[in-house]
Amino acid sequence: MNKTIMQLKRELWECRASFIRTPIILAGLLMLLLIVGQVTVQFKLGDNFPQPDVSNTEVESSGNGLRLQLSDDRSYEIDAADLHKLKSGELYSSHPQLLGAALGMIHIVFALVLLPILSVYFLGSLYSDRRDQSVFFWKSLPVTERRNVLTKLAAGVLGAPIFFGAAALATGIFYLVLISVYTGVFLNLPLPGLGHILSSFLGSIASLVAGWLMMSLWALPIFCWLMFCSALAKKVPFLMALGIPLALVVLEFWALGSRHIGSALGDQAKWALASLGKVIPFPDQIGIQALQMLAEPALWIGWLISALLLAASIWLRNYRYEI
Amino acid sequence: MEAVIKARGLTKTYGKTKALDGVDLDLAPGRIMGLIGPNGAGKTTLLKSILGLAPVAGELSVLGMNPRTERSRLLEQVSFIADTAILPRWLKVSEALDYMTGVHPRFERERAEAFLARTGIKRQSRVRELSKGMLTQLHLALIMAIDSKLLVLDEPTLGLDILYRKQFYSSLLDDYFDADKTLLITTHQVEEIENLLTDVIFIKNGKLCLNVAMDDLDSLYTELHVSADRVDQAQALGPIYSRSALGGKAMIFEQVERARLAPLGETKTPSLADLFVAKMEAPHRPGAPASSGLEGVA
Repeated sequence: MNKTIMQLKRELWECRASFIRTPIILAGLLMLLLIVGQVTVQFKLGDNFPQPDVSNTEVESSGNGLRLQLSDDRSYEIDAADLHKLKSGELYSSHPQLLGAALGMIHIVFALVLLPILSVYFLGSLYSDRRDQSVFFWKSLPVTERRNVLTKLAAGVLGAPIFFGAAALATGIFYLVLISVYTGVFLNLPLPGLGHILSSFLGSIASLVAGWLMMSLWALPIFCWLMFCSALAKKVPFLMALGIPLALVVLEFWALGSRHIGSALGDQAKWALASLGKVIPFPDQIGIQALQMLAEPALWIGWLISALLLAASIWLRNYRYEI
Repeated sequence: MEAVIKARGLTKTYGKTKALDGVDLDLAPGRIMGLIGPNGAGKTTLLKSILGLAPVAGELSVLGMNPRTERSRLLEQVSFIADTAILPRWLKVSEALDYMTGVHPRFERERAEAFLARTGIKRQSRVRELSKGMLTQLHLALIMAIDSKLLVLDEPTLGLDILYRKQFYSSLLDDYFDADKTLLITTHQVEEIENLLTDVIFIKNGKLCLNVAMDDLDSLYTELHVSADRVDQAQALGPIYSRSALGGKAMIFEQVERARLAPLGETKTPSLADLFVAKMEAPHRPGAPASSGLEGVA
């Protein structure tokens, strides 16, 4: 266990820039954008937003609520409960999915930036130490290649997302504070209930974690393929990782006229990305999506392929590691 | 006591070339063995097989373990520095110490710190910021702080200046080596380790052509400086090697009694470097080009 933790730490030391600094920078950038966005909204509302013509609007009590009668014969009924929510600024708490979606969009940005970073990480994971010969230093220590390969996979699938997730959550909290300040100070409305904010926030954490895990489970064969290429390539693992599937697709189409490989690969990627969009903004979808996912045979086939690719990578690291 | 290394008939072929050709080797605990051979003679292959880094045919046990199948367990007791091993450039010195402490049960951090204290290496430096000399010092500090039973050094001082090299070997003897440890060293700087070794093996074309204890060198090999007028007499005794020397020839004899040579001129035990050249250019290997062994000697 101690060794595994040390191996994970080693990966973080090596990838400090991409795993830790990138999400921090991204969070800073997003926070800046959010501030700019909020200021712009404020500006627009204040000066340019067309004010409704209220001169001909009749407002009358209807039951416990209000009835707005506009001049063009449109009328709106607002019941007492909604009126109360509106008055206390609980827009997000009356429509929690709105807050969830806003946080979800922030989280998806982090997930989408993490994906290319992970691809680069996996492509280099079992290649860069062979290229610079430091593999002989690592191999002089009592750590098996199985542990090495598996911790590298874990560092990518589970380790890096922790930092990206934390940065995403920090950005989310920042957004909540910003919205609260905007509602409270600029609109001069009472702040939304803390309970509602907390539940939205916790829901968005759960969906962030679940969305990422589901995406990773779909993308696992892709990650393992990248690692395999990294262990196999004598130079430029990227070309191998891209070239072989491309060649297979072309070959299949040329020889058989079919597109099974291409569509299988496409489906896998589509499912992986879809989990981000379907789960991250919608915490209530986690259970349904997870069940749907587990029912897909393609997922299990992907895991089988992943296991084979990992076994092959470990074998390569043991027997064919010299460039 | 159990042999540290026991090898029988080690053979390894790369394509058509035999990197190892039936090597037998025994190394007892507490010895310091020098493995000397020209480039491409099979030194690195032999070391790699001992360290479980390359599969090899034949019987091989290191500390009673199979280096291939029990590699991880073996490496808890065997440490090595490969000639090409380079510390990863992104690693910080402090991280290297943390990492070794975490993964190696026999790594003694205090020892490594003590070695490093004698150098100008800062804990916060990254490997890429260190000079070549510092880099080797760091690597050695890390490896020498492992309380291993067998230490394998493949060209440990390559590229270091003479001051560092002297420092390294004296620190290896004073601070590291003790009766429980065994060393296996390859180097091109034969003369620098000559006084250190208890055993020496020469390897040529994948075969061991010398495998003796340094103490036996006196009785097995004699170098004779003979004046020009007695060269024919000396030649008749069958030197394995001769070269021109001031006012005559210097010849090396194998298993010829020193008493028989003494009347012909000045006798002494040949230096390892001279013996190495003699063995590499031995006349009973006519196929070898004259320069083949020379690149191996500094």
